Amino acid sequence: MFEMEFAPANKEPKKEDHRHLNQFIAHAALDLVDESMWTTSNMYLKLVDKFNEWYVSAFVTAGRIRLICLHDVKNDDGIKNFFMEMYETYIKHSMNPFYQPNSPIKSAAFEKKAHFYGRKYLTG
Amino acid sequence: MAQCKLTPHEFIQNAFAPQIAILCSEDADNLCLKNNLRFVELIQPFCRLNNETRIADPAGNTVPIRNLRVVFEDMNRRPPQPTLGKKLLNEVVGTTPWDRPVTKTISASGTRSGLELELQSTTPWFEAWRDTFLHVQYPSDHEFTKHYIACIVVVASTSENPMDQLNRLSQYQHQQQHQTPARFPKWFSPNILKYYLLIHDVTVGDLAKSEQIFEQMCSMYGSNNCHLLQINSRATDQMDVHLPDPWTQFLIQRASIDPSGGSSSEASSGTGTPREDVSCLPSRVTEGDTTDCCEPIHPLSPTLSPPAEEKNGTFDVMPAVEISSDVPVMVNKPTLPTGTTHHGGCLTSSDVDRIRIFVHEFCVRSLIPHVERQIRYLNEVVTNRSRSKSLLSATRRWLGGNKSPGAATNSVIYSPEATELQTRRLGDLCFMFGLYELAYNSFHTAKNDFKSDQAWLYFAGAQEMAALAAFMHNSADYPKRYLESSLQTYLSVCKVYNFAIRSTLLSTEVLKHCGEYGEAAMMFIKLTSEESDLLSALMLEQAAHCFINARRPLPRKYAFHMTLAGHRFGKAGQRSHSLRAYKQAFQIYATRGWVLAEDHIHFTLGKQAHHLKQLTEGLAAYNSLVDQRTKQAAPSQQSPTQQMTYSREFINTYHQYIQQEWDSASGLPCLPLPLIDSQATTILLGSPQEAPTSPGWTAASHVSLDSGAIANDRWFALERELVTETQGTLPIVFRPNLQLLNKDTPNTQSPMVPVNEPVLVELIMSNPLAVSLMITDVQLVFTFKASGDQEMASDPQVKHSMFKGFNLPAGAQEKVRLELYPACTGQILITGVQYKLSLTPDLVAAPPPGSTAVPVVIEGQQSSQGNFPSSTKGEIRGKKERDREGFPLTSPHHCCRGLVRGDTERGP
Repeated sequence: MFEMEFAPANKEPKKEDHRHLNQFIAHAALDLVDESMWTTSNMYLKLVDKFNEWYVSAFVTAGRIRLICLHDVKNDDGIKNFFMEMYETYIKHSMNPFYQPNSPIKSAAFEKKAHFYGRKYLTG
Repeated sequence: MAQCKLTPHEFIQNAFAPQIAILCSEDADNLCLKNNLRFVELIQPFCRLNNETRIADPAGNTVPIRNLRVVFEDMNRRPPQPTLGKKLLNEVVGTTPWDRPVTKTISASGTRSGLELELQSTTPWFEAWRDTFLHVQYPSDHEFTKHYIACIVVVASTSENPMDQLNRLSQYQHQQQHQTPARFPKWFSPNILKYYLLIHDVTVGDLAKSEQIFEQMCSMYGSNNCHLLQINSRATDQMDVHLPDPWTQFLIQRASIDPSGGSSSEASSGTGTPREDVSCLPSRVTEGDTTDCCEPIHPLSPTLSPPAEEKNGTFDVMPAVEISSDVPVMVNKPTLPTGTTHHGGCLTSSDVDRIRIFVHEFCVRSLIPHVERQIRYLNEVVTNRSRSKSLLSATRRWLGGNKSPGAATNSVIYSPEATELQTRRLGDLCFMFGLYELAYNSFHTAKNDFKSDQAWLYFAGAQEMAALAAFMHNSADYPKRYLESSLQTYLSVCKVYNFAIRSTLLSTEVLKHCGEYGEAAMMFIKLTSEESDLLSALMLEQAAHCFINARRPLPRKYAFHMTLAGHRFGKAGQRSHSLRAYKQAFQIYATRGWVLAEDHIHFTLGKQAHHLKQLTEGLAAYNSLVDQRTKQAAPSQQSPTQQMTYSREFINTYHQYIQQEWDSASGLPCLPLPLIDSQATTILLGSPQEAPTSPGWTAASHVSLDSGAIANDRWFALERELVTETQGTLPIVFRPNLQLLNKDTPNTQSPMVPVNEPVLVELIMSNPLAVSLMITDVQLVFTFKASGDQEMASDPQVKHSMFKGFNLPAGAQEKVRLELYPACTGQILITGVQYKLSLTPDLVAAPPPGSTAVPVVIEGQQSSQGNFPSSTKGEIRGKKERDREGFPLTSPHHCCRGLVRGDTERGP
């Protein structure tokens, strides 16, 4: 279950009022991610779950790192691009010898990139 | 695993058991009351036939029926009002005890290691709720399974004129059934089976007379429809408690269902479940009033005509008398048992056997032949219809007048004798008596008819039953889509939620049986709505269980739905269930780094436990909220306001806990706040706290707490020389005296300190939260053991200082210095530090009105376990050293210099 520590990949630059609910939903969606990642060879899993007005999209990397995005509007391409960019950023970050794999990412640069891509693909 | 006690087949069979009305004369009931039981209750345990019976289908083939169960109901029983029903359901859920959860290993999909989970193996509260729910349902016009199929008229041989009474009761029943507009209770068909029972009290009555009456009865009503039941073969005072009491389990149900009995409220208050649903209480009060003032109502009294009328599924509010009429005898007998009394005290085992025989006789000799006749008749009607299409179309045309064009509502009204309804009736009858194939066929036909008539409610009912009949006939192959679409129709077209719920309860059992847990979960989730919290909670919980029991378990989904269920339980006022649900969900979330979710669960757990007065548990939950020691890797992500709430709740709970549960003899409990950096703790021995301030003076010591690196080596060398000089030889193991102990010094030995010289402890407290904390009255906790022959001084043996306190702002660090002065020799063991913690007053924004504005101050300690450098446990041996000069506390500069120099110079 080490993947869960990658909660920072859950970038949602909008509302902050139901943060714990978001975590609940994203966490519950992981089950479905686990299930559906065996059914397709794509990394991008599109919509995997939905709860009330929330949609959950997921992206599974080759190393089985799961990126989860919770959103309330459908924006397939944007999310896909966002995931791709975040994946790349993550790979670059994981090449940092000081970064221990599967530990929480505490990097200002990573955060900045995430913010940037988030603004570019998700809110744009 | 949330398995039900019953298999789905049994459950469905029970849910659609044939209903028999009981019309009991007052005398007969009084006879039975000798056993603390009413007649209906008396026969309740025996309503299942254990042996196999046979029933013939219209073609003449006999089909075996196993375990036929019939339901006996008082004819005057009404389903409780919707609000009352809700309250009953709430109580049933609240009072049902549950088993300990069982630990089970779940291999989650996609994870390598299994997951150890504590799961609820059964959900008895859900089953109790389900049974009650089915029990309190109103019978509807679109189906006949809840309609009485027969009526048993009961009279006692002791009454003055049993024959006359039989006649009267029977006519009363007839009048009830044929009054217009049709009222409760509903009857299956115009000519129902009537059965006549004569109760004979062996101890009181005269058997010859009873038999005579019985013969009259037989000649009048036919011998197959009459029975003479002898009971009470034993005098009341001969109590024999060795007999098993088969009634108890049924009476528990009665206690919770009985609306005016006091036992239900006692039972619920016993579990400590706080009931929030105050809106129900007024109705209870009025019931009590009316039942108190009204006389025992004889079933024949004219006031009893039930005014409740059904209008498209809504019910007029019945007056309170209506409810009390359910139990006319009971409420006015103050001697009535409340559960502890032994039941059936007057019955011998042969009496019990007689009751069993009576039920069996009734079913085999009277009920089943009647049903066979009915089935044959209905079958004929139905087949005739298919032969004569003209009749059908005529009916259609006639019905067409009632049909509102194109409406998607259930506005079609069938006359009670319409062919479609007869088909449905045939199906119901066959279903109830186990002729599932025939039932399926009739339901199927009825379904198509109803559909073409756009009678959606009827259609949904028939469709549901068709699916169930197919399932019961052959569980491997059944039309699943029928169930789904009937549920959909109930929900979206007809908006009859009660039937939708019933349909879900039945079909999820079916789905679970077939291993389609995902589908079942979806069905449960579909039923959650804003209106009923209890219902939603139960449904979500069942859905969660479905997720975890699925072939590929989805533990996270389970946890999520468990959390939702816990939330709804909380809203429904079922705190203990809420607590349980959250706890079970937490197992999944714990230590996975989903801190926000974790915090939310902790907070709710704490809240619920606090309300349930389980302070220990609540405190533990709050503790983990504010405790940052475990989360140093990932500091709390909550906003300051949230942290503020957490801390305040924590302090309040802690305060209560100290007052109510903590045993003050064992010291103070441990506080998680603020953090004390144990590695930074230092101890200074025998030195003053403050450096002398007047110019020209300096401390006669090489160390102070503020001094940086200390040239210990030089001082140790000096000490060694001094010892050699004074004692001549060095001891074998020379151990220099350390004055300043910190994490770098060897601390395995207990240091020595001269008497009357200070022991100075410096701690660093830091505040990990975004809330400022107030810390007051800090002092050391220690034990002092005076060594042997000391005179017991009147003044305290150890003086210690108290640190006034300070405000620790968010994220800040503060040094605290505490002093001890041992006044005689002995051993000091410093065990920890004790302080009072409160929120900083100016930040406790706007205390709620009514409460005092004074912030709650809690007192606690942190033990020194690991707080002192490398586990010395801070043991300090104070020793009186008369023969050796200690260093003066403060001394003039020159004096000190001289002494030190003198020592040094005495060396070689």
